[in-house]
Amino acid sequence: MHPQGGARPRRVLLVDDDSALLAAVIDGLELVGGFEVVAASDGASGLEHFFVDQPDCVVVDVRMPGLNGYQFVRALRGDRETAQTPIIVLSALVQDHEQVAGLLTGADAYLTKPVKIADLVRAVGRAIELTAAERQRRAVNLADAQPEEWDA
Amino acid sequence: MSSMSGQLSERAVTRRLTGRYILALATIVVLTVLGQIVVQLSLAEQSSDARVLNIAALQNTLSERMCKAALAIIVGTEEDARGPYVRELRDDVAQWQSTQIALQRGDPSLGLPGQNSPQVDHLFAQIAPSFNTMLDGATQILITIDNAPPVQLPTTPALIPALVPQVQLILSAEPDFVVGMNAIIAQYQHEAEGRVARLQIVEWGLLAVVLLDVILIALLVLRPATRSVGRSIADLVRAQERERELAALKDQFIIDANHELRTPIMALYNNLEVMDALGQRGAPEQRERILQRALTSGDAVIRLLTRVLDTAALEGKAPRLEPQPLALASMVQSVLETFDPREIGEASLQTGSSESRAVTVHIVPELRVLADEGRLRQVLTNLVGNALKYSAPGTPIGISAFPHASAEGGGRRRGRGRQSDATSGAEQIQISVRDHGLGVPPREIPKLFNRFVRLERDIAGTVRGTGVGLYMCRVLVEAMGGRIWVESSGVPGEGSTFSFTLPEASAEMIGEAASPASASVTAPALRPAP
Repeated sequence: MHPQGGARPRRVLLVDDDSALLAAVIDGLELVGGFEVVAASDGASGLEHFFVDQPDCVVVDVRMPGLNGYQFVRALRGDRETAQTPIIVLSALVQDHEQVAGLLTGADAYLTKPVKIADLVRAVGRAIELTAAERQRRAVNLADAQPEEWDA
Repeated sequence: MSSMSGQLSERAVTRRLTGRYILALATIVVLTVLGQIVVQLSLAEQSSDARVLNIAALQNTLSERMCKAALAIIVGTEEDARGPYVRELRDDVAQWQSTQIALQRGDPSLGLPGQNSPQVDHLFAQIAPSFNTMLDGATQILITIDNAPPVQLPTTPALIPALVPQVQLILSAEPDFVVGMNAIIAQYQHEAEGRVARLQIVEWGLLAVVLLDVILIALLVLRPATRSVGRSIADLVRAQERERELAALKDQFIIDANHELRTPIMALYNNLEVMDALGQRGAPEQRERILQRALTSGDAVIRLLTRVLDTAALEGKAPRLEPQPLALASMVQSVLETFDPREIGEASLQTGSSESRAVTVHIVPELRVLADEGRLRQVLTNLVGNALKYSAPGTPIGISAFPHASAEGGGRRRGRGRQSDATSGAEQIQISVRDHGLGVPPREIPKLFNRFVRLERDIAGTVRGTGVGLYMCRVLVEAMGGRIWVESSGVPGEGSTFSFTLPEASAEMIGEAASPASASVTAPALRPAP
């Protein structure tokens, strides 16, 4: 988590290989959410942007060339310095096992496309507000839960 | 069509096997009945022969008893005891005589057939003198006794001198009679054994025929039937496997289509949301840009839905076509103009610039094909789109068309020999789209044009698709009287060449509809090759 200045808007890193979607979501997050958005079209350049731009939250697609979304999330969660980064997985993969896999990698939320801009803005806000303790508790609860509870 | 002929052939085989089976069973039934008849005849003959032999043997016994009775009458010491010998002689003579006649002429009451062989008749003729001598002797004895005065009882010693010559006559003839009768019995025995032997041969013959019939059933009915059943089971298993594969492909298709639809729908909706949020604040250029993005996403949704619905609509049906002479060069040009570099992943998001790619088109302007304009556009769009999608930005793409050398030329093909009647015999034009992308692994080429098929690497990878594009291409090209195939080494960088043929439009077809076309067409959206 990066320290936030009072005047600076929250910065969101958006990683998705679909250029049309990327353009729409960038505009949406900026106009509706008031975020500052940086974007990348694949996982590897997304990581570069992460370390350069130090975003307050990451919204990442799953299917991408090179480094995919899950690998991207694991890369951040596996590093002590970046482990508490708010991360939202935004994917068109709707099967239960995909959603569970997304959450098990450590993402704070798994949103399935299509998502309204307002919902995405709310999800980003919630992820940013999550404390380290809450994130840890959610991870433990998820690991202890039975598969049917994941479905619920 | 081949499926129908296959079913007819199966029916013919089944009918033939059923006919053979019924024939074989009928043969076995007939042979079994014949066998039973032979056995019954054999039993009846053996029974008859045994009866004849017993009765023939009894004649010797009777002749001996006659001799004994006759002797007892003349040599007996007790007068009262001679009476029973006379009765015995009388009874024996009567039975002996009737039996001898029955043996020669037959007697149903005794179960004697009376149909003797010439040999037996001859033997009976040989013993006739001794038989007659014995019969005369015995008859004379009985007449003498019967004609004696009442005072001279049959047993009176005074009669004995008159009886002695007849007794001697009987005794002298009896050995010849016995010998002759033994010969007759031996002949009867010999003939009975001969009949048994002949019946045994017939029975063995019938058994052999039954065994042969069973072998023929096994060879001509059971073996083909077993093979046919085996083939049917194998066909069923294969059909089930195909069903399972198709079901798995459909499931994957639904997942892919779902995935493919969600992203452009979200882009479309988000753009509209942005427009809404912007209200009147945005600059006209910004509003125009967002609107264009929404329209592009909407187009992507429509294209995908159209492809899916087309696939569903074409399931088991031939597409409706309106073939007309079409200038290939201008058609290719108009297709290339529809491609947006950003849409095919060529955009650089950070800079907003597009990386151009060389697209060379080699099509002589005179080339015209007979095809449905919309369907040909669909095929070209799909193949060019695939070439762009599956090759790296910046790598060249080549589109060419030329008269097809022969109906069988080219590499691996689909739909060989499926030309429609309307176009068979027409010259074919081959159109090829070449890229330098990942290529197609050779083992996946045979199924590439099937419905819902996607390459294994693409299912797990990032390249989007639903697996219906090439299937649609095949259906449409074949419906238009052509074939489609792909040539690829599967080596990344060497790419693929997708080719298809279409009938060339004849001069008569072109008529006044011919339109001028450029010698070389390039796509403005994609930087042309020099």
